[in-house]
Amino acid sequence: MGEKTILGKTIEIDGEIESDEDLVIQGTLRGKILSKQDVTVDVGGNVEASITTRNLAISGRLKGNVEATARVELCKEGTMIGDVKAPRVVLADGSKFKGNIQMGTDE
Amino acid sequence: MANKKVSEGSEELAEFEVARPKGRPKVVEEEEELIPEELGDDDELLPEVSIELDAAPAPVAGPVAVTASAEEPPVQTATPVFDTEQSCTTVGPTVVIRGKIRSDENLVVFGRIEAGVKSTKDVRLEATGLINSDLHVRCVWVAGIVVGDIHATQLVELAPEARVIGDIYTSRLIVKDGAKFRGRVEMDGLQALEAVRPPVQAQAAAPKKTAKSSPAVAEVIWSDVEDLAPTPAHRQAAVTPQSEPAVERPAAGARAPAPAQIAVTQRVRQPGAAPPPKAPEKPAAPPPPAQAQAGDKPPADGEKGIGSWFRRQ
Repeated sequence: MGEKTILGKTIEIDGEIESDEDLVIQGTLRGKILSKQDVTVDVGGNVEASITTRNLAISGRLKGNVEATARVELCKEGTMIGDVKAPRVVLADGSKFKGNIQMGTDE
Repeated sequence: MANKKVSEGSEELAEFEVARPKGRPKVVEEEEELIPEELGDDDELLPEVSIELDAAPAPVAGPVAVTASAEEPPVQTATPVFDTEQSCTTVGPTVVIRGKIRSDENLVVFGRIEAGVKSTKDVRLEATGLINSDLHVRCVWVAGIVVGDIHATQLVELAPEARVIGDIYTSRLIVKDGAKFRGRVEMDGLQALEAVRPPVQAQAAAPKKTAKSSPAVAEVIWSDVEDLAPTPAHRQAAVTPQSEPAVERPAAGARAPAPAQIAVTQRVRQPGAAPPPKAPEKPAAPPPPAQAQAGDKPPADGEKGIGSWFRRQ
């Protein structure tokens, strides 16, 4: 308990989250996420935010730009609109995506 | 807002008061330092805080003991459970949330929330948690720090580790021994009594006059208050030569000169002492009416207690 932050289904947050631990979003978030660890947008999660994190997994809906230091994975239930910048990007079959992807370390 | 009611407080809280949000929550920079520091030393503060707690809810708590005890059975319907097994949101210790939170489920906070919280369910603020904003919730259990007002529709509980600066609006309040709190408390269910309560300005300016003109409930309270007013000369003379002159004099000296202080004393005394409604001149303790001389002694004890209370200030 306490090692992981879970934002439940009925939570609505307008604002900014800073985190040094894993973050699971099942509810609604508008704003900004700054995380040094992993972020998961769960099924049912609805995020409109720019996200800076290490790993990101999306099973819900995400609108916004993502910058990840390790990996971004868009799972098969996931929907994403926005730009992704990460060394590794995974788009699963069935996922929906609109935006730009930038991989690698150049630029 | 909170300062108005409370004349004195710990330096620790005073320091912390600076961080209190004015409108929008203020971002405090070093969170890791802030929390342990606040939770660290709590030795010398306890007595003062307990006084604050006595004083703050007194104006409303006093009348309840007299009149409303029968009409108000403690209906603890839907006893708030702060169980974390249900679907709940957990905010971990390293997380900071700024902005606005709305929730229909329980919220457990180990981290920091600098966001207005509106929840139809319960909030549990653990010892490492900090909420730097107003709370609108059903129930809240606080072991951490709250700087902001707490509006709870059912219950507020302050655990021994709790630090709270702000006002509390609730229908039920539990404050555990050791909790630190500065602010106002407003509880539901006191509207009827509010009508008979004399206005605050009148209390401070002319307590005696108010007592005369108030309805019955207030009369009971203020009759007790009158005992704390400067002792008339004849009563003084009756007491002093009798048994313990050395102790009695300083108490009277501390009491007599400042009417403003007396107003404070009234509030402190009200909840504890249950005055006999019949005799405004008589002291609070119930001595046999036959002993005229001994009748003056119990107030000596009571006054001594008040005197020592002043000395501590």
